[in-house]
Amino acid sequence: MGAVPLAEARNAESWNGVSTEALVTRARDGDTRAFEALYRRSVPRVYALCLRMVRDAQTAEELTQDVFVRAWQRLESFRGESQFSTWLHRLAVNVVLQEGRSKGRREAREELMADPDVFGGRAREETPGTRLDLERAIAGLPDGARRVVVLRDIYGYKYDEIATMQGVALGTVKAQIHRARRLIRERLES
Amino acid sequence: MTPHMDDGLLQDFQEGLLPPEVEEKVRAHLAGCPRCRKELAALAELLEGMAGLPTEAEPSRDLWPQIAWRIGGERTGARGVDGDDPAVREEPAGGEMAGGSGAARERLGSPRTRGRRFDLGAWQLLAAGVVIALISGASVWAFLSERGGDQGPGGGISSPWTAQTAGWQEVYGEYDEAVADLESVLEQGRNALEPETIRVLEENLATIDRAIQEAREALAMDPGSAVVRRILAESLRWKVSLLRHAVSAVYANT
Repeated sequence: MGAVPLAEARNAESWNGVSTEALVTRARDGDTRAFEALYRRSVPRVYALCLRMVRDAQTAEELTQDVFVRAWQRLESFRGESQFSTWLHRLAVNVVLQEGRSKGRREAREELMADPDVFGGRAREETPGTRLDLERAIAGLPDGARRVVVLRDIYGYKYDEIATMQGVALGTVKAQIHRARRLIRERLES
Repeated sequence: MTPHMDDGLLQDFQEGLLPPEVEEKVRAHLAGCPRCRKELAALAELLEGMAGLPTEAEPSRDLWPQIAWRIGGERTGARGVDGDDPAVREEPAGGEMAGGSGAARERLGSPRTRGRRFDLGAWQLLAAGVVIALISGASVWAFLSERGGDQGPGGGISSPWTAQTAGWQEVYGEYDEAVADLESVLEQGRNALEPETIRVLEENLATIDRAIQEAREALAMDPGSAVVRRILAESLRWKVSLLRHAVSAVYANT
């Protein structure tokens, strides 16, 4: 890969024409500017995942930082066998789940996500009047139920992947997801 | 056997997870059971709705400066403190990994940067001052890191940007209280810190204080300026953050 001209490196936006693969290569070599460009491309997806999983915006921002710090540390282990976005997303899930297990930093926060509209733009298939209700119903789930149903039904992870990430049996995950969906439906119908 | 399908069974059916023979039985049941068909339709609608939810959201603030600090790089491309003003960004270093705050400070002081400052407006000068303060704070942070705590600047500190419903004065009042509390604790425990640590800490707090004072004065002249409010809030946040880390170092040494 050719070197990126200095003039193009003046800010993150100048990396627009550079492929993610090239940025990863440069970041792996220690180029923090390339890594910043990766951050700016990826942060909306990572932050949204964190926010959906933990509900609290401040905790989600802290976790998002952790994800990118972890990604920087582990960039060497990214072999390009999957897309960088997939690798990073999986890393983010692990960071959030570890946080959920340790609960060392985060105090239990009972308030619901303040503004479901924080999730940018419009839903992929907007159903007027129902999206916010659905967001609120998901946000109101117990922590464990919310995490698994978010991973399965919003991000499309397979049951066995979630079981592996959670370190629990497949049947447990299925039961959690079934329960979570029931709870969501109850909340939507109430 | 119950007259209606178990909810879990319907969910597995909807997702195609059942063995063929079981799936066939469910299908046969559904053909003659309006209630279960209705349940299945509601489930399908729910799954469709969740699959269609947005998967992107923007944090309330730029998280990169703290990430950059934590990974040991410079605050490259940091959006200054007013969001996206390129005039207050640091000069790029050609892609090499900088050696932390020292390198960043040196870059800010480069002839090239100094030359640009003559072109900056008042608000931009103010913003640049805060950037210097923040980077100086990072150097103290690195110094203190050897003595306890590992959170980066601002780590764990609530950003005023998340308190969108609170009045600015209320937010600033909370930060003032936090600063007063932390300063009190630090004063009582300052003997636990090395003199050199105290010296560097005080130097950098003084720099941040100057930035805070300038921002307050600017805000008094232009109360409606979102840029200045943001500068002030960032400065306060960094001060609290720095003090918290210093206090944690005190606790670590006592």
